[in-house]
Amino acid sequence: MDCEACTDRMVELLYGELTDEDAEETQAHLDSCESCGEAYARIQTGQRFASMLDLVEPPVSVLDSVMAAARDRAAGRAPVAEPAPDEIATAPRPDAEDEGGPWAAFLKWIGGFAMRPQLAMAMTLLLMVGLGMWYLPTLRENDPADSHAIVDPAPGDEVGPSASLVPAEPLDLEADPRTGRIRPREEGEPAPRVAVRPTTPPPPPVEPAVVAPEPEATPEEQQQLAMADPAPRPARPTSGQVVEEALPDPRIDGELDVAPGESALRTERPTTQARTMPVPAMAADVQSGQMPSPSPAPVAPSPAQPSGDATARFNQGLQAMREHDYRAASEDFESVIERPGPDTQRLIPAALHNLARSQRSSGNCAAAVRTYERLLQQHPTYSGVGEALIEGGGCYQRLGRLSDARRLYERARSVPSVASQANRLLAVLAQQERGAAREPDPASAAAAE
Amino acid sequence: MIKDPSDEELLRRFNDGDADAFAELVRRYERPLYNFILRSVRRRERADELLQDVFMKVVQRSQDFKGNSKLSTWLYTIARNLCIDHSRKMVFRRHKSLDAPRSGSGSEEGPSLLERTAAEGAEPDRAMVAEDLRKRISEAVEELPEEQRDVFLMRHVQGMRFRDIAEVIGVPENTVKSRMRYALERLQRALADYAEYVDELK
Repeated sequence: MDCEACTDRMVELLYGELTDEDAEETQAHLDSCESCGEAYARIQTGQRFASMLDLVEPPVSVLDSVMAAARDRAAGRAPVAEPAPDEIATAPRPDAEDEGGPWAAFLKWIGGFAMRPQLAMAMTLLLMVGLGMWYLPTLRENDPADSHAIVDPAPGDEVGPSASLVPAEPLDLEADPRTGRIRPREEGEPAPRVAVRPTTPPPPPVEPAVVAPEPEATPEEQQQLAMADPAPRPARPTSGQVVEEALPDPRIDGELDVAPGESALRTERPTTQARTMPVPAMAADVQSGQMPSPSPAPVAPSPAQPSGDATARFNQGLQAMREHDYRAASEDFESVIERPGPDTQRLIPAALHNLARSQRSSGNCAAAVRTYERLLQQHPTYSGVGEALIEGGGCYQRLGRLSDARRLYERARSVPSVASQANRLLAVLAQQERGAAREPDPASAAAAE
Repeated sequence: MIKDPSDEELLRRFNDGDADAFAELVRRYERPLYNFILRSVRRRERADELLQDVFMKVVQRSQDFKGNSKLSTWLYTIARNLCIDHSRKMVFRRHKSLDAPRSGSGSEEGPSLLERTAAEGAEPDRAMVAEDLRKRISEAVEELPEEQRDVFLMRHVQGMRFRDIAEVIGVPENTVKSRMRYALERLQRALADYAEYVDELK
């Protein structure tokens, strides 16, 4: 058995779902393979913690109304027991077909199809396509200039959409039947039937990762931001982080018991990448005990900031991160850093770390590296230093500052939890550096000439 | 010895008009389902409502259950769908009270617990450590990524087999097992400070 197969079976072994033969085989591998043995020991410890999870009792009367409804329904269906009159009065009749005969049953059967969400969606789509197919040819026949404006824009036409994202004032235009071009409509003329549409496709949706730059970002930072990889950041794998592949839905329509509210075509709910994002830096730096230096926070706290204590603001920041609202999260953590409560100095390192992650996740690597550096400088004993080094190095890499990335990765090699990851990243970085060195350097080329 | 009727048999009896059969189903499932929901939505009052919703749907839709899967997978599919719908709503309508300390654990995020147990330097009281650990475990479970938490809870509060969990979630069984492994590793990491204490209990 190889390590991969062993890893696949570990959980089943732990929970006793393997056959004896498979269990023996897996156990033999665990005894002989140090890394698998250690991995198994980790999940065993995890299971011990899991087995200590408290089960909470539901409130006693919480299901009273459900039980009453169940009794009503059972009474309505009971073949022999005669339900009490008041129960019938208060309970809806569950079975319309019992009263209405076959016609009501047929209607219910048809209604069962019609009310299915996927069918409704398909009908809507068909309606839209049908309307479009009927409407466009009509448009072309009756108003050739308008259709030209849609499908065959004249170059340099002044009614083309503005490059600006600001919506323009509606233009009072009409098609000139002689030239097929658009001209301003004169007073008293009837309005055209169809509004002129933009002749170029709309700008692509703004990636969440590169939304409006931080207010304090300098033009240089904004340029760096624009150069940075625009892929959304939340699922960037960091140490211990899990990124799971999107998987097809194996459910087969009509063959399984579909739960109420569940579409038969329903795939698993979108595994938002941020769900796999670790909730970061929860633990305060209890070892450090350092006081943060009173350096000013990058941004003054928003006036909308709740006046609660630092812990509440910290939690609010975490919640904002979970909701991918990285700007709100940044503001929350900045306010924690700038205005720590009397008993919340210990939150500072974690808040700095989360601030850096929020900045990184919103695409602002330039700000993120400053925050990472501040964290590393002011809180060298913070428990998440290893992760911060790796993440900060990644930001430097994206900014093209390879020597700074190397500096952080090399420091990360001395942190056991991320040492192997740092080594891997250094190897990748070395390749990147060699690639950069091979490219002709304009300055040196000019000097050689 | 009389064998207890299966869940599916109880539902069939309920469909035939036996309200006691439904009461027995409630007795079997209300506690694990409540804990599954509570750890997902974190707020007791929401968990109360969602538990009601789950069983109300069973009452209303019991005849939709075809019997070609286990009743437990059907119940957890309903519960999970309701939890997901709830969390989606919360994303759009960022609820003020989510920022407050959680009702489930009654405590704040990690720092205060670690501080109480570790920062003082003195030998912490064992009862206090145990109490703190219980809270930390609850929090660590609630902090698991949603897809790992669902798998973890179905396994631990209901004892469901991995293939049944896979059916609830609609992913391959191997994915479920991976998620379970990741969840346990995460718990181990999150609670590493208590590993020695737990090892002593062994």
